[in-house]
Amino acid sequence: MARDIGLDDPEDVFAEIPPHLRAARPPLGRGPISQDAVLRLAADRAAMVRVDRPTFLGAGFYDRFVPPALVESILRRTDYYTAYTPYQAEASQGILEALFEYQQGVCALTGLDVSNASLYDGATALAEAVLCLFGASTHSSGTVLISSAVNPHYRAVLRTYLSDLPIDIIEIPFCSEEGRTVPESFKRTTAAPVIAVIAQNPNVFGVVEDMRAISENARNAGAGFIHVYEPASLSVLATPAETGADIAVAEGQSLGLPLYYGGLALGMFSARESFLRRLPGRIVGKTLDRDGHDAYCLTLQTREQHIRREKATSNICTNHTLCAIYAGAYLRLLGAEGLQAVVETSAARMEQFLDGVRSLNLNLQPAFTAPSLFEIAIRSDRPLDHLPILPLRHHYPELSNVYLVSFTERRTESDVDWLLSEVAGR
Amino acid sequence: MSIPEDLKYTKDHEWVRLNGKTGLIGITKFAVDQLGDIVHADLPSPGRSVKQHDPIASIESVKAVSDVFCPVSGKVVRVNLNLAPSPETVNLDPYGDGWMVEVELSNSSEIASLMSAADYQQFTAGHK
Amino acid sequence: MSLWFDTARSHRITSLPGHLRRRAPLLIDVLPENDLVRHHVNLSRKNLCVDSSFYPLGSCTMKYSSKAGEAAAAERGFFQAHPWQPDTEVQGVLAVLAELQADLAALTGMDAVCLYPAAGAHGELCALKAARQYFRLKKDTGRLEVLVPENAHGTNPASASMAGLRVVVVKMNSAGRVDLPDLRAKLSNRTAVLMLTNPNTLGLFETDIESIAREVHAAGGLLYYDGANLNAILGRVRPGDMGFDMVHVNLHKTFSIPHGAGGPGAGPIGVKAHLAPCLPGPYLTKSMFGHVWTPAGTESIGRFHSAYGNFLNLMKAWVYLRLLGDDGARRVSLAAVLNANYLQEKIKQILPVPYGAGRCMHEFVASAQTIKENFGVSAMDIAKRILDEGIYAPTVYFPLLVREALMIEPTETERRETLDHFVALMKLIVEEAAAHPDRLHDAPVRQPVRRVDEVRAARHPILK
Repeated sequence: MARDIGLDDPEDVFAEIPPHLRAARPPLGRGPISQDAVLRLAADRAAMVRVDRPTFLGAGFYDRFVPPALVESILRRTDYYTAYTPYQAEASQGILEALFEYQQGVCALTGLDVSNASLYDGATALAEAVLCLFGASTHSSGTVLISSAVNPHYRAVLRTYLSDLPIDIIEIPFCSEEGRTVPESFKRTTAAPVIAVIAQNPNVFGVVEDMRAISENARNAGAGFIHVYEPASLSVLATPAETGADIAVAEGQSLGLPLYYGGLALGMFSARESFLRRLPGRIVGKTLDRDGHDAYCLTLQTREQHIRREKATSNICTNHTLCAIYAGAYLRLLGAEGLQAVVETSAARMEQFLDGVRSLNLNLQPAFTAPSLFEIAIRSDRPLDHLPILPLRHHYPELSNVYLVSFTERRTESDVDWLLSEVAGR
Repeated sequence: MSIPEDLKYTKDHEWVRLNGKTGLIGITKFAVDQLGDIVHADLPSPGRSVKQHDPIASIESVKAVSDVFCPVSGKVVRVNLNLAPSPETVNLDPYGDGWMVEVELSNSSEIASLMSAADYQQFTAGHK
Repeated sequence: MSLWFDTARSHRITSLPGHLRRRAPLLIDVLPENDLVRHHVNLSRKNLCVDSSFYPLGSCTMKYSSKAGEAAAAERGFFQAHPWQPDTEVQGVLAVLAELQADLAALTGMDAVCLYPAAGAHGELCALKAARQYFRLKKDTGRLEVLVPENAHGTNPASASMAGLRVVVVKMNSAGRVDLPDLRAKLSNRTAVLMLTNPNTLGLFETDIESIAREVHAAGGLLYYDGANLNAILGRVRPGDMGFDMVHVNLHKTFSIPHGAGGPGAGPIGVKAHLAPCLPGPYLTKSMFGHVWTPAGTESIGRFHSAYGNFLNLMKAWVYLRLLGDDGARRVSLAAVLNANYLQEKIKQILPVPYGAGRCMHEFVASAQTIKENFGVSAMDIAKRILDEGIYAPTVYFPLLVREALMIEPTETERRETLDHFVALMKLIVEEAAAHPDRLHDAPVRQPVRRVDEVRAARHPILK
């Protein structure tokens, strides 16, 4: 091939690069390894991950049932995962239609009017929601009121995103007795306009918040309301549309995606109609082809960075298509009934656990009085760090002996019995 | 390309049609041709005050989005509500039904700083 | 319906007060498992993908993704690793991350690597925020300008504005490279960062890179390497050695992880030592207990992801780099550049390549401008016609410097027969443009749908 372009030595194709810029020594310092050997190495690494006991960890990432049907027909389907962004619509109709179904699913869940085709993860979706409200507002600066019972990582990412912009964050403390955020505490306390009020439901402690009342207070403060949710929970809890949210965001991993150390994430973003032309990221629209047949394409791309450039409110130019297609399919596989079964089974395991704590007379107390879903904060009189439950002290120093115990539909009765016996110290 | 004689023009390719104390404002055929198919117009709320050459609206085509700068200072009294359901009107009739906002002028002497049709024709000729 | 999991009943939900509960019915169009699988298998077939088709999509590096990465993804230890497991329980995961960090640092010539960014634009934002923080810590707060060449990707200005920075555009010269006099004129004590790709978006190596770096550093600014085009120089030239202070790399381009129909990707960043304390935390460090997450200091810009980045993709890149080693990395860039030059030589006989006088790197940009003028056939018409031959279209209308641009990147994983077939096809299409322009206006005719009305979609959005 080098000969065809007039080169004796193939390496001469790099002739334009000044020789002294070329790497003096091989950067990696190792040769190639065979596929067989690399797969053995990967198996060795994977073996150094503890998966031999049931997990009760949650806080944003959940060990939900991963339907093999979706792994085979979506995650491992090379026709999907080796394609590129569907810019050439005619050669990408399958991806576009599948994303359209995802958008339909998200709107059905949240009750909101419009959904984008997904973002990176829950935390960055929240940050994008604030930027979206800021862009839509007439203010050049302002504050954001966020419940301190919102996932600490989401709050941390939000701080990072806003640190170079004229938006201050005010954290609204949760009620230390109930574990929920008092709706009346979301009010304007400084001269600066309030751009957004943010609450999560269930909150990081699993406690169900009164989102309708919080939303009303947001309205009174002249702010937009961002409702952070867990997708399956919307089969039973008040929807963002019902709570009066302007924008709703979530982490979509819990729609049956494998855990992968939190690294197969899905940012869900939906909003009221009025934000249609301000949504960050990609959106799929339904239209017609030249012959008048139904067709799909990426649309409203003028919002996007490659056109608005520095005027864009977001720099997002991708989405998590594969995860979004999967999540859309998960919703169609389980339906309302299946999602309710996820929630109800998780709740039943939580009750079994709490009953066990009482009947076994274990020195554990629920840390809060308000009702919880999926996970519950419990106070222990001795350290339980050796168990697969989450100590909260790293993020909430005042909760020094409190643990978050998370339940999913994958936890069986015997899993819960095992945890109870471990807590009892047997 | 025919440029209506009775309008005044800006270098940013807006036009204004004076009618007593108010002026109808839109974008020129030249601008429309540059933008291509118009898909959306983001219009202000009536009552908003605006200074000459400040952005008053934005217009989106499939391939671009651009600000519309107000040729005159004043107050927005009316916007073209027909553009929301039918943005293509701007392509079809840029100097007529494709108007965007009506402004009550606060300083009619600004008109003198705008271009006549002949001047604008010459101005755009240099842009091709 | 089959049972997906063991279910149990609970009154916890019905005992919640009514105002906390959902009122509207949840209307989802449910499909039985068999039909859902069939639906998605059929949908997935309505796309061109790398595993079915040549994909010469410029600037996107659509190379073949090793299936070894997919096999490793099936490992239960990866599949089920929970991000909040104690470090001692996930040593295998942390080892993969640490080894990938070391490899990326070595290949880019950087001192520290952050794996959190989920995409290239995410990495770009991360690096720009780190740069701004760096100047803030130095109390050099007047540096708010980001210089980008005029052919830069649109994410550059958008990311800059999210970091509270302003964009200043630097001109390109007639040879398609950064115009040094213009760069000099725009450098000042307001300059924070110059963002560059090298090779640039025209597929040309910036031969003046050392002078550029000297000038930027002399003005007190930082040099940022957009790793979109790293494939051309992998294992040969390191951004760090060219004078860059920061870099983001697209694992879904150079490092072979599949594009996932548009994502998830991964866009790690690397920085020189002076910027390392500004990176997002926590940091992966080594202690007597093995790898541990260590909280970042106050210099850090903070957290950047819900967890630790797109681990699944990071792991696939780790697999890829083990398969490559140094020899493989050098073979990647050699084959990528040879393929592109071979193709450029052949395409030049069919279409003008405005900046194609010399050698290109991993890609080049042809122009359909004369065809448009002579026959009324646009780059988009050509792109749609190519789709009908079962080949994905080159990138059209980017970069803007070339009119009616067709940006072509063959990558290293295509053999000569595939390139020759593409050349023959392009020749046919260009002849067709002259003889039967309507065939191109009408294309595609052999895809699942005809030309899609994108204007209608934007005017009257139907999104659900």
